[in-house]
Amino acid sequence: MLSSGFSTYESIELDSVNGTCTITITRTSIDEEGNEVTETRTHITQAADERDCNVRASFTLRAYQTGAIKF
Amino acid sequence: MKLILLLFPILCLSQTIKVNYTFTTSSYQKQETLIADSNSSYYYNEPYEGSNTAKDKVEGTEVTLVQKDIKLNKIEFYQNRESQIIFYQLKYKGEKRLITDSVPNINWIINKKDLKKINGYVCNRATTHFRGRDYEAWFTPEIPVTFGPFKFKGLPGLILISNSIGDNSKKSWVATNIATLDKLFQIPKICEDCINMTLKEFIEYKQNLREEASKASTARLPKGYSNVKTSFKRLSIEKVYEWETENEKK
Repeated sequence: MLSSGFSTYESIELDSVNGTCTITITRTSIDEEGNEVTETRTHITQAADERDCNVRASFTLRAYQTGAIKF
Repeated sequence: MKLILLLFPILCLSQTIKVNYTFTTSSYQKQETLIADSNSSYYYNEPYEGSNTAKDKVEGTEVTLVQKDIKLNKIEFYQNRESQIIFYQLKYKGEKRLITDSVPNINWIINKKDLKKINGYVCNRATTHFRGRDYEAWFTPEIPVTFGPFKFKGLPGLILISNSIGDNSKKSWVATNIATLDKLFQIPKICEDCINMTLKEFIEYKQNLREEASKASTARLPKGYSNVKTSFKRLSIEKVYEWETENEKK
């Protein structure tokens, strides 16, 4: 499994805390032959904290389900 | 090659059996049929359409998506007892294709002490490793047909049950009906106007299509997202092919 979750790093110049949110998306597709293949992507986005990162993961799921992001 | 291709359509099977199998994966279930005698087999499934039994989910930052609708085309396998070559034909991306598969020898380990009665037949258990998965098979010497579901063969009796073991993307075939055909069975013809490909070429062709589609869609990611890494993993019946492991050894 790929690494995922929330991590913070200091931005020295701005003296503020930024969050990197790593979301792992695994999609199982089945071709016309019946073969199952998983495609795993890791997306990096920004989030305020871990909770925000989890909310963004839910938004990402929705974005894929609605076709806003396509596989 | 052409000679073998020509031989298949004119073969008539005598003392033929017809076996219906239910094939189950974590995503779908479908019916498959084996027609075989002691020398040859014809294995096929009818086209299938259904909904995926698995569901989308999100756990923390792990998002899992599944393909909702499943549409499978008819696939027909042709094989002989003595030959390691399996021909299979199917329609893929709108084109009829004939795939030539040089199947590695399946080395079965038979455990004669493991006995089970299935559909009234006494069965022995055998295990093997085939293209990246471990399998167990229950076969009956009471029906001296060396074939089974999918590409399995080489046991001294018909395979009634076959399961992948030690894997969470389980595959299983269970015989639901066994009948003897009274009349000679004419194996359907191998297509003459198909695109001919080896299995290796077909696998590479499919992988290229996936990678191209993936590149195109990651190029269209919305603002605020960046894609770090994309990887593919097979959960199919065949997970690893011999030419891939040969490359690893080199």
